[in-house]
Amino acid sequence: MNMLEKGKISGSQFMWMMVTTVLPTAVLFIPAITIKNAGTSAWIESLIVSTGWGLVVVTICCTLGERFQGRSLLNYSGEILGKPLGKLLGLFYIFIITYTNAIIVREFGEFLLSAFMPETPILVFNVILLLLAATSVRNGIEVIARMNQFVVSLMFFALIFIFSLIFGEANFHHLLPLFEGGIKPIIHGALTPMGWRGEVFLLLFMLPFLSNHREARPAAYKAVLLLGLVLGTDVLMVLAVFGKEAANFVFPVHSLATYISVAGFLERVEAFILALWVAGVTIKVAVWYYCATLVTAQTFNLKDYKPVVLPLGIIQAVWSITIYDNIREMVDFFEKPWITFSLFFEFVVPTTLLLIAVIRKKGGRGSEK
Amino acid sequence: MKSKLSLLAVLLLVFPLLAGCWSRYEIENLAIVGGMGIDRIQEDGKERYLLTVNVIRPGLSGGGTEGGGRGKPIYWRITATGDTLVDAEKNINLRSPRRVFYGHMRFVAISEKIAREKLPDVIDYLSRNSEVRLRILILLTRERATDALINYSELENTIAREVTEMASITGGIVSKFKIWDLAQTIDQLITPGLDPVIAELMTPLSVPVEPGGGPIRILRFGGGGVVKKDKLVGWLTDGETRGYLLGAGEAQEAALPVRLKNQPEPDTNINLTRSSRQLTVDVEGNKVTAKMLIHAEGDLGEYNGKEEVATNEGVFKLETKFREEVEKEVRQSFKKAQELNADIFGLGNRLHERNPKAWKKMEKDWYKILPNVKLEIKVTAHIRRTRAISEAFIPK
Amino acid sequence: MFNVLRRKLKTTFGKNKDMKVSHERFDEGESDHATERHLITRSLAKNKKTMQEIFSNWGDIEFREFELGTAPPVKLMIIYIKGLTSMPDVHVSILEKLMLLEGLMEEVASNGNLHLIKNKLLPIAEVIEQNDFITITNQVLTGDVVLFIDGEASALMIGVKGWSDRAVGEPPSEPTVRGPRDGFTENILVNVAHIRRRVRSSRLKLEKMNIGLLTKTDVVIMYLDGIVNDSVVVEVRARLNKIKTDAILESGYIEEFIQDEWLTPFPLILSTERPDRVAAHLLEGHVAVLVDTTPFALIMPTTFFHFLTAAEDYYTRAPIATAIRLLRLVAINIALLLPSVYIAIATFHQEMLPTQLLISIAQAREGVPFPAFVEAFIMESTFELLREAGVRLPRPVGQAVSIVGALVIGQAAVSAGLVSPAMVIVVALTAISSFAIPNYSGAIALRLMRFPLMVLAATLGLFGIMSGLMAMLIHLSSLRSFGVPYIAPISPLVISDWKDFILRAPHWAMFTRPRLVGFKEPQRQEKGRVPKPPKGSQ
Repeated sequence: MNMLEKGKISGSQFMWMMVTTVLPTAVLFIPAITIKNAGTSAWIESLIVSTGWGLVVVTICCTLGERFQGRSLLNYSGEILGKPLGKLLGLFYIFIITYTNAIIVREFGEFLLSAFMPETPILVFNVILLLLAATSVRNGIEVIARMNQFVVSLMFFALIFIFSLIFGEANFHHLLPLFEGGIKPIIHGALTPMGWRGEVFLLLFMLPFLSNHREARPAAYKAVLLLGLVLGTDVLMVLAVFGKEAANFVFPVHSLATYISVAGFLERVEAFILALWVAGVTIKVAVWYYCATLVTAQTFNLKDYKPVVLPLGIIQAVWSITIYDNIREMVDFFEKPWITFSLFFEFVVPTTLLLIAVIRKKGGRGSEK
Repeated sequence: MKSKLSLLAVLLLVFPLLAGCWSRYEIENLAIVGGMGIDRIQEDGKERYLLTVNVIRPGLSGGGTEGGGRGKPIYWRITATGDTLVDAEKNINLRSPRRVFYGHMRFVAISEKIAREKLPDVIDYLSRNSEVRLRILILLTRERATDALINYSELENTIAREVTEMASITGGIVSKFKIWDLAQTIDQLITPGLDPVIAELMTPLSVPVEPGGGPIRILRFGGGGVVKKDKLVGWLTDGETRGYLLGAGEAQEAALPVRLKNQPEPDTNINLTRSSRQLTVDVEGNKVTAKMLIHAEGDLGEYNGKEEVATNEGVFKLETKFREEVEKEVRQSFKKAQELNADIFGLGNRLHERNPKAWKKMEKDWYKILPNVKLEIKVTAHIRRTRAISEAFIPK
Repeated sequence: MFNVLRRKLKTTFGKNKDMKVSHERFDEGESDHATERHLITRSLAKNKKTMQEIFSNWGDIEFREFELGTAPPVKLMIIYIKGLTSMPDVHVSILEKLMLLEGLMEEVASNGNLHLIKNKLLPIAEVIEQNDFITITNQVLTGDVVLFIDGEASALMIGVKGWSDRAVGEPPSEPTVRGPRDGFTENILVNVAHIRRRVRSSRLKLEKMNIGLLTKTDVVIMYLDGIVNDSVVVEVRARLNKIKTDAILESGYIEEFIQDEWLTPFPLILSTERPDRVAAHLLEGHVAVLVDTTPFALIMPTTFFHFLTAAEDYYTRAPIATAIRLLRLVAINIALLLPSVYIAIATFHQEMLPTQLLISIAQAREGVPFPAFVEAFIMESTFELLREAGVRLPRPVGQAVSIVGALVIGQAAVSAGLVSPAMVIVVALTAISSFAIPNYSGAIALRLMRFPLMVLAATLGLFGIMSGLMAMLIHLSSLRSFGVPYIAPISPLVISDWKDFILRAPHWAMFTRPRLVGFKEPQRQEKGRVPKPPKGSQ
């Protein structure tokens, strides 16, 4: 199984890749949905509840991975569930990852379109994103990990840039009253973001490439905590500057960037932020794309994953156009079906696998088969 | 193989692009709008929107000093009507050879008629348009908004800039008006328990600039319109607005003429240099008390009296007068607000922030409760300096 | 004999069998002369005849017969190429010494004249016995003098090479304000000497090779044993050995043969004229390849950032060097991105400009017939043309013409209303910034990348530029130069190498060599030697 990819990644590369699995599009979409449902407590939800959920998912996945050190999910799922079910799981995940990636691509295309170039057909954005991602995928996971390190720093720079410059406009009265409505809005507002934070389950597929698998768990925790911090700050800032009206902004962070005005001359910087974002999303799409190709190759026992890249790309491109008719459908999807959808493949499936593995005494701590 | 494919990718990138570029607009194809005015008029027996935009003529503004001479003025004022705002906007292109571009629009002037009835529609139109930036300034006019988009800018190159500078720089110097931008306006409009005051743009006529020419309209700010439940309900004068700003903690610098002795006219002027306020709203049973604590700092701007004023007692007297004046102004504007039954100081909002349960109970009847709210004002005033001289040069 | 026959048959009866002939040539590894391996004879007259046949039609080969000043005299003959030998040496050290044997014993040593001449009479450092015509011919072609002795079965190859070389001067492609001004010349021995002067360690190894069947160019591999990554040396050697070609005229030929990837605008091997640069790289663990007849040495493995640093960075003080590197970073970004960003903003993102600026640009563009992209393209291409032309012009005229030409053309274009002044400024800034990039191949790569980015900017605005940059990043990430990832130390992230990346840490802080190259012996110096005035001094 490991012949497909000879690359090895380090612990810190692993951590940053997990950050990328969630961050680029989450920053754009989460604040609006969270604020709509959780109101002024949205930032609490983002900082604490979602992060907690992320930790849960990561713990389960890491435990599962540790039981079968160095092996890929497809490889040991056959052992846990029996060969046919294992293959079925593979097919299932191919579908899930490809579908989610198509959503990601569509998300970002929508953003580019509404914020910057409304007349351009969305196909152009989607195809270019997928092309860039496909090229990275063909170069292997090491290259993706390396580029990721670079791109992630760009994104952090952009975020720090926005947050520090907009800080002067923050009016923390917008955060009052605290805990308005009690716990219910927090839980309600947490449902969709939980699905996003749980996207770190992708680490299951990246575990075999770690050069030192002992670094998996701390790296994963660090990633989730970092995500929590960043996304929490994100929601906090949006809420502080705009108040509850932010729930109506489709892309609050973008609005935040447009609002920056320092010393009367540092204005209108949002296009520059956009440019950095394109890099971030390209890598995110590349990571998901890579996992999709990998799972496909593993499920069908192919010798090399490269031939799968193009067909999957076409599928994703087409899907990204057809899945939603309009942006309302997309947001609706996130508010309702996504919750169950993501819960299932991020949490239920790994937990079930883990439980069955424990019951059937498959795998073991620190044993290499 | 690796980099061959990346090169292929780059090449492939070019092909779809050659097919056509969709969102490109050359600068010379844009009509850059500096300001917009929205009115409501009668046309063909129907009520329609009248949209006025000021388009900047690039050939004439900026750079050279020739602006405003013979020939075309710097701005081109186009109007268009429509059933909806977007309709009117598109109808502008019946006259304009270039595509209207709102990315640099700085302000929107809304006429009283619309503010009284259709304010939310305007706000919706502005927020939905992705070109319109959140920092544009929202202004109200008593007369027709279209008159407000005058062609003549005094100091700056463009009207848009004049308005912007007044909002950011000069507004704080006199504290008789405060211009909010779109994001702030929306925020205030949707906040429960707060009725915003939106600055008023006046266009009085003035003496002619050129001999033989007619009187021209000039821009002037001062005062504001009170918006309650998305409808304009009344106007505040200059002084009342100053009181409002003091009470809202937004006043920066102001001139407060006071009387040291009992006499009809003020003999002293205290300059407000800074102010801030803290507001608490307490509820006991059904009684609501608002406690406002205002910190004011100032210095002695002008003294026309005959006594010594730069002494400890003198300053103490000044500070007393300062306090009284501030309180007086705030109460005046509060009184006006109560006449309009509008909560301009955001008492309800403060209650909501600190005591959500109480707010929940009172929210529905807030406007009934509001006239009975007792406002306690405490001012701490400090006179820090007497400017360049201490005592006045009083002839002996 | 049989081989000659075979060849003759093929050329006569085969149609256009050139290719085949060449193949055979290379396979047999022989020289291009249809001479069989055969040895010289003892007869001077026969040897002379053979040599005359070999060198028929060679106008610059000189034959000089003379006699050894013994009694009885022995016939001697020297053959040499006039332009390649040092004539004073021929006169004084060979002819004089052999002809004017005054007062020397008329001794015929028991071993023969050869022994006598070689060991006692020729005060020359390099004298080698040779008896095979092919080697003799080759050696004569490199500038040696061959001495045939009548009656002896071996000839002597005498090394008195000398030809006029360019004087050592400041390397024209890499001048510095501070730093040594000796550059390489076309003589490989001199070049190696420059390096030896700087790296006086017995660990500095030198491997000689001869590449190019017709040019037989001397190629030298240099590295510091124990510091360099041995697998790189092995790889370099292997790749050089694989080269089977006619001609190596410049190190660029070799570069193309041994580089990792040809289909990329980015150079994977560093070329430099400066010996101090080569020495510095050797000390870090790189391998250098010097090629005769060219002053440009090759250094490998390289990363992208080697092309963006100048030798001077290490000679000026650390804060200054860091500031200048930052400036260069800005310059790189401008050179690559400014025209594209201008096009993107002017065409797609007009809201990004401050209103005043937008109005000024709009004003300037009133009446300009072309859209921003065409304008930019024309101006940039014109400037590249001017630049190329400036390189070809003779030195004093060249500078003036390119600068004046650019300005005048720009001004004229603006006056004619063909382009807007803003565009001229953009082009000028871009050009100036691209001059700030120290290495020519690096600068060219970036300059070239400008154009696709401009196309992308014109079609998709900032998104297009970003996609282009991402494609570039993907491409760069997949490049490796002799095993070292091309964009180290960014990725893989090697923090310890960042002390010499954008910052330039002071020399006392540079305790480690770049990790990916010099990992065999990482430590350069002791830590913690911050310079301070001695305690207790006022």
